[in-house]
Amino acid sequence: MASSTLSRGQLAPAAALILLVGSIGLGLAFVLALGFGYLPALGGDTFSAAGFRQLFGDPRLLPCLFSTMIAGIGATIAAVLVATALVAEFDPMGTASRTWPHRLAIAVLAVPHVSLALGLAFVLAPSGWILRALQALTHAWPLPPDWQLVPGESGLALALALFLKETPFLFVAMVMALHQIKPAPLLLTARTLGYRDEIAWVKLVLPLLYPLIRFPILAVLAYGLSVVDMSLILGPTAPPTLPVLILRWANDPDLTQRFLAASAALLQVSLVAGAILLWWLGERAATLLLRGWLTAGRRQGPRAVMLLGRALLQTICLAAVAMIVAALFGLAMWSIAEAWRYPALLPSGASLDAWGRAFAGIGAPLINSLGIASAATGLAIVLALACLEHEKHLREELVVRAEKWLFLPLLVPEVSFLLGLQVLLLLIGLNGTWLAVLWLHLLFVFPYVFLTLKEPWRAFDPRFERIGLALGQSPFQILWRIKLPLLRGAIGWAAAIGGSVSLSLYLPTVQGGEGRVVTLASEAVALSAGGDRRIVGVYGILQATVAGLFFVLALLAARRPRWSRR
Amino acid sequence: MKGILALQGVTLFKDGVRLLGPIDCDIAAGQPTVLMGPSGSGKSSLLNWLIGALPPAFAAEGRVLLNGRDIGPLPTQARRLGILFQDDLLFPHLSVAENLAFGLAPGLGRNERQARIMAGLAEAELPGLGGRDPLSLSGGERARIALMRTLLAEPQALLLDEPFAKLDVALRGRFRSLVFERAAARNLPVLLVSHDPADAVAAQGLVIDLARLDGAANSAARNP
Repeated sequence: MASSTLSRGQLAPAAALILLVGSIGLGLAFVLALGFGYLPALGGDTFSAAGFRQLFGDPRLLPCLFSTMIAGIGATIAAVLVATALVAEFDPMGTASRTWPHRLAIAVLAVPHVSLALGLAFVLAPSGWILRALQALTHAWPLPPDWQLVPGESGLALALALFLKETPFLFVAMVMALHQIKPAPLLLTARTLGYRDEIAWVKLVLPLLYPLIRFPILAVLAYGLSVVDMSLILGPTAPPTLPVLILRWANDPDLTQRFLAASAALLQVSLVAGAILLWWLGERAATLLLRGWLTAGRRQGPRAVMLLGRALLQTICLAAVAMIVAALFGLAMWSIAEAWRYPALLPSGASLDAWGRAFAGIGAPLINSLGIASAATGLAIVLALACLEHEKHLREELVVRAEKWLFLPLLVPEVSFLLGLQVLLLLIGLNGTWLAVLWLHLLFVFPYVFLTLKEPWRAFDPRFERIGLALGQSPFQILWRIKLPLLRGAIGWAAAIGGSVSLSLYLPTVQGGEGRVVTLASEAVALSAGGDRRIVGVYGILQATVAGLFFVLALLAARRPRWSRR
Repeated sequence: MKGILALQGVTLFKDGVRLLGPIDCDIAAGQPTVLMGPSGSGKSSLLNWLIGALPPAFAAEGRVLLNGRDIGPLPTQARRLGILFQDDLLFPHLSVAENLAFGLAPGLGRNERQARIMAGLAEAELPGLGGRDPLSLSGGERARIALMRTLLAEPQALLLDEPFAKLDVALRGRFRSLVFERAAARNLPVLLVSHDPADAVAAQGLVIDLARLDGAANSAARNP
């Protein structure tokens, strides 16, 4: 009996681990073989370093690595600093969860990366809104200038977009982590020892907070270094960032280019691993340098620095919010613009022409987007719940250790293992199918869904279950009639987040769908290269709207019905 | 006026209803005053008010003078009132010695800091444990470190919010004597809130029993 319970308990976590770790391991194994020139099906019969020789001989490699690192590392550092300052300023105790900074952060989280990037491209372009506004004020640029921020060779525009998107994510992660620390008594103690709150927060709360948000930070770092969709829209072009270069080689009609792509993907993995190592070294150095300062007795920060920092933070926040609003508003304006030549601030007239043209072809991407998002989210929720329900049968250390692996897809650069899986799909004839796209989406949706569900699930009072058992209910009845209804709010959040993750996925869609399964995200990115800003506007707005609707509907569906709210 | 914490007409209200007081008393160094009362009687809230951290649901009237100076308008960090809570609240990311160092004033030389930390460890009867993680200490040891951290910040009065309640009986008496002894050595007025009658006996000072205190100010104050 005991052994059968145990094996049943291990089934769901094992399935989750096989799905995630197995898929990524398989993808990386294929990339490793390909990178070293071995895949008989593609004509590589022996191991060789030819791919690497070609890669390292490419003169584009150095500038490409440079812009990749500027964008990824720069955006991560900026996002960590600003998110920390935001938390310290607006919610140092992690208790004010229903105030406007939180609502704003969650709203920005729900905007798909691609929509934001498309909007920013218009705001930042040489003929974009910022320059049009400057021209209206100063008349300095009667023609759009020829310097380029978008697409920008430096990677700064990409860094800005990443910063705008990742800061709210880290802010929300930090606020959630603060709940676990309970900073209030620590700060009160420090106050009675003569410390001012701001400095006590930095000396006492931040060192406790950091270990809890290390993983989200590293995920942001890995994401920033390997992002493809935003990079295609806002990143440099000659040469592009490394992930874009990999994608280009991976999708080359000449199949042998996949060997080169795989060598570059291995470099990408090393780049991310190196950046994580560097970050870790930075952490160690900061700990060593600051440890003495923590206990040196300083009870207040320099007043000028505090004031300056606060003013800077407010400026950054205002500029960031303005930029995001302008980006989304700009997309909407373009989608209904009739003629909108430089330097006009607003279009000369409105027309639904672009919407009409877009709607003619929107059926497949819309249905695919919604279908894949619903299926991936549903499967992820069922699997996550099965894992969480059965973890009580497992030893705690095992759960802790296994859980870490579930987040692997957020650390390993997607462009690397997806290349391997694409080749695998090709070999088994599943490439370009709906099932393939669903599988790849699930790899990214599951970690977020699991992350959202695990805390509320574990915090559930076990006495409800014991009462249910004592009343003669079966475990399944207890789950169905007690636990699920009580935790429907958490499930709603998981569905909202899972859905918006899936709706914003670009690379898994193109790698799995190969152009035969298209979604709003893949279409929007593809169209962004075409230069028709009206159609781009329609797709950008549609993607953001569909993601927003999915988000809101999932949350509404999870609310308790009105008759039961008393 | 050295070594005196004075409460003048201190009354606490919760949601507009009188909870406690008015209390008038002078607490002198060497004569710990004990505020006795059941839970919910407002003892801890009184201490919160004294340190300037009264939750918004409460309101208070009255004055508090430390060595003759009205500290009511000062922020918590400027009041120079040391406090010990039921939980030791040692900072988990700092070692035992670093927790003590956190209490020390800035500007001391490295050697001076080191010497004071060593003296603090010795006073807590825990020499040689400076490098330890606070979580590796026993409850009694942690309480003593929390006391020394508070005292190293050189407060001018000591408030005790049932810091003995979580210790087992044998440890409780020892720690209580240590606290009173160290406070007396530093000439600090001590206000202890408790619901343990043994605390009142041990303190040998003024006892204010909130259960009997009703309206007529300090009529219930008695010397045991």
